[in-house]
Amino acid sequence: MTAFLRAIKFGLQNVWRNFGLSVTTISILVVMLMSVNLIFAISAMTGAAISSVKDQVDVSVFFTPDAPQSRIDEVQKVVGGFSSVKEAQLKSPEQVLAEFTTRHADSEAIQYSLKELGKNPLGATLIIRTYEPGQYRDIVKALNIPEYEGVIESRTFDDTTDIVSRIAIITDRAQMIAWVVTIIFAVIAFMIVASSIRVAIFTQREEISIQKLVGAGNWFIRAPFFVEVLLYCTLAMILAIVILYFGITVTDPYIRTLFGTYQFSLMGYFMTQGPLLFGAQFASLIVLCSLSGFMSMRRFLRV
Amino acid sequence: MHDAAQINLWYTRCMIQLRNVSKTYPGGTVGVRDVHLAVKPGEFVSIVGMSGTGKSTLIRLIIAEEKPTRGQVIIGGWDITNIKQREIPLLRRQIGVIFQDFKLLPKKTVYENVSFALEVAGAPSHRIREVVPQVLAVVGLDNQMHRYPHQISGGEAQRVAIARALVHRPKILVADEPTGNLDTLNTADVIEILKKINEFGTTILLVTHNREVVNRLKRRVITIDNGTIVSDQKSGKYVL
Repeated sequence: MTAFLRAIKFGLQNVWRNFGLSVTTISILVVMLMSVNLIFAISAMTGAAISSVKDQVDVSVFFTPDAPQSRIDEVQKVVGGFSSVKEAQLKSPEQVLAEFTTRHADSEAIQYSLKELGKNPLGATLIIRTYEPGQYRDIVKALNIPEYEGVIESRTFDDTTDIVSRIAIITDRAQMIAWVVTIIFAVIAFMIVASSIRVAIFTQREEISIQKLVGAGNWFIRAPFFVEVLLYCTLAMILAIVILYFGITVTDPYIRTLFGTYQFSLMGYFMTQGPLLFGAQFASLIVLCSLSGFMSMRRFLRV
Repeated sequence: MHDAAQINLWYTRCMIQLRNVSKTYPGGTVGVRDVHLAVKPGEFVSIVGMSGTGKSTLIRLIIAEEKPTRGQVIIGGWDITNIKQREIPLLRRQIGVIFQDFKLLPKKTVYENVSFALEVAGAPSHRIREVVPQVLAVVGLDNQMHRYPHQISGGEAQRVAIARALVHRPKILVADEPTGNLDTLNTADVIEILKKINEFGTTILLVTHNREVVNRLKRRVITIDNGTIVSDQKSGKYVL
């Protein structure tokens, strides 16, 4: 335990003695971590954007005003039988009229026309939502048969498959760029950590030679450098989380505005996924930096 | 690893044995050639010779800083010819070494320089607090503990180095030109301390160029020339 505490003490001394280099190393690690988190943020935002678009897509089947309820129920049953259907909501003619009236409350002409008609000109409407946008085609095709001609007045279907696939392409490209940037930073971080350890070994060569002379074990000579690496990783991770927190606090309201009614918060995403994300990042960072430090020690610290 | 029982082998007849040892460096430079040497426990041996004749190679072989090309090196009954890397620290704690340039850490005080040797060996703090003042008293520096190396004389710096070498209570003390940077007065002081340490039973191996020191000691003198031992006198003089 005493030897362990001494190794920590010497490791802290290493960081302090090469303060400028330590700051540079930590900064590079922070930049690398920020770019990794940017990937996660992009991924979360685009994922939410796709879900939001998918959520807005539906097929509306408008029934004729005189369509018998039994036929309407039959169509609803047929549609409900599709495994791809997430939801099939039937709105009665009264509901449809009420929504229509509310929607066009400002239009005197429409209000007047409805009054003149004296009866509900609208039929029931079936709103269908599927799990994937591409699945609407099958449903539309299934309803487009002569049997339903007298019952179904029209169908509306916004084909958003194209939009979704475009978002997916943009997401993939953005993620690819972010990954390339991360890999570049990872390589730089690897070299910087190796170089920091090399400089630390160089500046302490006299002390190391005396340590060897007086019988310090290999573990004791190397441990402070591992402590140094661990400290770099810990400080970089903490700084990255702090910067990320403030960054998201500032940008989150704007991001939420972009999503409109769709419930998405980047802060919420990092709050729920944070422990796993940051834990994995910290573990990877330690592996990367330890490997780099180990290689440097193997080459320059012949104990 | 060598346990306590093996360490007790220090008490065997010969403290240092070199059997037919040769060391050739890459490029063919010969460090030492066919050296036979046996040093008994408690002996005070001076190793003399011109520069580049192999004295330092001999020391490096004894402290396992180098491995012989041929032959056998045995320290206290422990064959260190092919010593494993992880066993070297254990050996070094049994052999105190001092050098001409003192090898003190400039940013540490006298006390810290000595305690450092115990710290790196994992000694508990209470033992460090107990032992360090004791060894500093042995070398007469108990009143200079909080000074830095640049605040003390060369002779005192060498005494700090001796104290540091002594904290592990080594059975062998190797002194490689310890008086090389010292004036006559400090040289005499350091030699007196080495003699005192020797009286407590520590085997001393003194590598020196100082004719006067060797002649005044009247102890065993080994002369090395061109990598080989050319003379080994029980109570000798500096003959080169």
